[in-house]
Amino acid sequence: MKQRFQGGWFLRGALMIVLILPVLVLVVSSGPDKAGAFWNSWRVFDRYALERLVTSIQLAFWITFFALGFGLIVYGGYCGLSPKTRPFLGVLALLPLSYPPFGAASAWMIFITRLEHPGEGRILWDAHGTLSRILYSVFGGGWILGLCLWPIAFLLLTMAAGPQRSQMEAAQLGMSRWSAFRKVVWPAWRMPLITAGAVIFYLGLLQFEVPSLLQLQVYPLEIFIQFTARFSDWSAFLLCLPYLLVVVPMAWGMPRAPGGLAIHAGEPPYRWQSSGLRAAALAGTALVFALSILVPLASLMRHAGSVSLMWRVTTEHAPIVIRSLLYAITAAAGVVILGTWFTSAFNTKHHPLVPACLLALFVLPGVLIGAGWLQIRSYWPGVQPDALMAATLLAAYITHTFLLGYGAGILLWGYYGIRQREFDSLLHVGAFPYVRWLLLPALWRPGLQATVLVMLVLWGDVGMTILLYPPGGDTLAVEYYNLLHYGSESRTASIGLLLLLVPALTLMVAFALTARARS
Amino acid sequence: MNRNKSFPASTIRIALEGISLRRGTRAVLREVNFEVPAGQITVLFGPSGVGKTTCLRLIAGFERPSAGVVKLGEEIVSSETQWVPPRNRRVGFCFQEDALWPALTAAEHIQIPLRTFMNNRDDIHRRTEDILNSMGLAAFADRYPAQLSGGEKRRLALARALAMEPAYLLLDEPLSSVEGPMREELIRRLRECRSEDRAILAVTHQLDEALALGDRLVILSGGRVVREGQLCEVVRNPLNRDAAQLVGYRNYFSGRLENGTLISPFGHWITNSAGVEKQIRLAAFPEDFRAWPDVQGEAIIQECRPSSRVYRVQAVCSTDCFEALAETMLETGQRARLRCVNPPAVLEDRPV
Repeated sequence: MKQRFQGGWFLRGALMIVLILPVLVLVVSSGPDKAGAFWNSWRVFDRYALERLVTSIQLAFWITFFALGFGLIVYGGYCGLSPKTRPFLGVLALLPLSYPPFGAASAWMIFITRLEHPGEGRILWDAHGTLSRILYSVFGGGWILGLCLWPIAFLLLTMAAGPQRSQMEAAQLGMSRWSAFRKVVWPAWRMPLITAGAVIFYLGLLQFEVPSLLQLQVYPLEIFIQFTARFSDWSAFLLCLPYLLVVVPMAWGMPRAPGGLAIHAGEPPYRWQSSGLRAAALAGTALVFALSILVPLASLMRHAGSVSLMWRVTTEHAPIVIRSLLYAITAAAGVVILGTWFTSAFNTKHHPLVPACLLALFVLPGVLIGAGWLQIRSYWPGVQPDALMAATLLAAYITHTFLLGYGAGILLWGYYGIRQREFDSLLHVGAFPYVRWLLLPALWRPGLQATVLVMLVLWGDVGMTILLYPPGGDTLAVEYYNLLHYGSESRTASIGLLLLLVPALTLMVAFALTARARS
Repeated sequence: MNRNKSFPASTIRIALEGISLRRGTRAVLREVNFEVPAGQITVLFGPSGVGKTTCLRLIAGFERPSAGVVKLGEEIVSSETQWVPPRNRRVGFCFQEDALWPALTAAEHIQIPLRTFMNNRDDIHRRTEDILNSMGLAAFADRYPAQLSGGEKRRLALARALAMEPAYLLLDEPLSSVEGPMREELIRRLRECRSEDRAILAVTHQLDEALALGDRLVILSGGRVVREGQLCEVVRNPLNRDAAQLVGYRNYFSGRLENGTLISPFGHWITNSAGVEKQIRLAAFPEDFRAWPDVQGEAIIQECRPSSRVYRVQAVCSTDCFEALAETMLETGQRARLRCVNPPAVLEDRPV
């Protein structure tokens, strides 16, 4: 069926070209011009690179392990709550995602140091620094990042269909508990867990800010060194190839996997019947929240010093906060609006090449996308205006996270409903009234929520922003990242608090705006 | 097709000519031909999965046929070479799932189609009130779909479709999920929608719905039209076994036409086909057959169940199974005699 906006394949193709343009430009402009040099460039995969790759894989394994574990614990708590209180937990679970992982890492570093040396010559516990040694390892990195990324597993589990009450009740009639788990619960959890595991694992492979704070030599650090120290874009691109080789076939195969990720509709998931189980699940949930929100918050507050200092830092950094928010929200809104427009052409069929391309852009390190846009910007003759710098930064943000906009678009159209769209196609209205009369009333709430979620991802970006924005015009995340290395401790902690609280407040405001049930 | 263009009532009709549709290797529709005239409700009837909704979607323009032509009035709107977009077809569509807009009130559901061709705000409000009143929804003008019952949602979906002032109204299972007095009410309102400048096509797989709603009946089976005509005519003379089965005939038997008399093991009837002599196949409703106990009877009772003031009987006669009514309770295995008390329908496609 030809629906509204379905035309314009040319425009959609053009957008795809713009999105992959930075990578293409980077490859073409930096690739070796002779065959010998081409073969030589593969030597970038030396012993050091492979050792760092192994460290990254170990780190990603521990991150996935902890994140899935924490996600399952909180999902257990979610199943212990009544359907009315569940949405509140859903919003609360977004808070750990809203905080840049390197901020959480710095908070944990402060926490462990305080635990070991509370000050005034006293030693509270662990004189031998065992906790520090654990923290400054792949296990510690996995722990910190697991505490930041578990909401991905939790959210995918809550979005998936089941296990529902009727299914569990039917299972209780004729199955043992183990059989019920194997035949009812596990099939419902399998795909969200596999998907979440894959996403978290790849996010773990891409991590370099947290490992660098923990003094871990990881693979993305090698890529970053190629860009910033050796100025070899081509080598950096070659080092990114392992990501693409694994991720793109996965994107191709995922939609075809049996029992794919079905989005929950209708009956709410099962609620634990046993009050003991409910209490245990809720206690576990509270513990996960305490570890992932309260510990970083309390550490930073304690370290930030007096309220007057915190207030001074806040007022001094207000322009940076506003600028950072503006960039993140503008790019996120762009991602969601473009993604919604882009996916409006897809009724039920999705050519796997499109999500595979977008996934490739998402899993490529941000610095690579940033370097590509930097290369494009360098073609600008003369002095580059500030607006151009801001535009390339926004373009880089959109390029890197367009996969999220694509996903949001598919979810939004799914929410709107295919039959509604078919009915709309019978109406004799132009595109603008159609958006104003029908789409906006139905989609502004989920659209705003999606925008805030994408904003959270962009809020903590360091790699692209460092490359694309001139010094002095940094975002709050970049400022904080720099101060972590050479800033005063209490001032850094105050900025860390801002970095944590601003997205949390934005999240709360957005969800309060959209919470009013209209239908 | 332009909304402002006025059509003479005689040109308003839907015609499907030689429509075929393939999905992959599966043929969904095969050479489908039928017409939907204005002023009546035509019911497209058949079991689930035979392509009824697909026919509606082809007419609305949501899908394109693999072969054949869809005509609205005199204009070809879908063919291999021509295609008119749905918004230019003057079609109103009532989906089985209602497909209401969850973020809009009932009044807004009516106003939005009206705003596509009316400019004056007061006129739009007046017309909205009229439509909501006519559908008995005036009290629910400010409610959202989630705050309406199943029947109210269905009426709102119908009101929204009517607000588009369609020349062609397509109804997909309009009575499904609506029960009791609400159902009677909806049938009445749907029948009130008939007019000389509107062709209405409804789809259903329930015989009682088709009988309650329709003026004309088109029976679809296996992706083909097996019978088409005025409702009474189709029910009285299904002409073939597929159509007969679908409209409720349960008893099939052979007979002979001799000197203007129809002779069968279950009765003789005078017909107006004098001079014709041939073997024929006959069909009758269970209500046309009577059973009573007789030790010399040719039928053996298989089952007997009460049905209001009579009993409904299943019996085997020779090797055929028959359904009949009985005035007394009959025991399983009991011998009985069967008689057809009304003239049966003559099936033409299976000469014996």
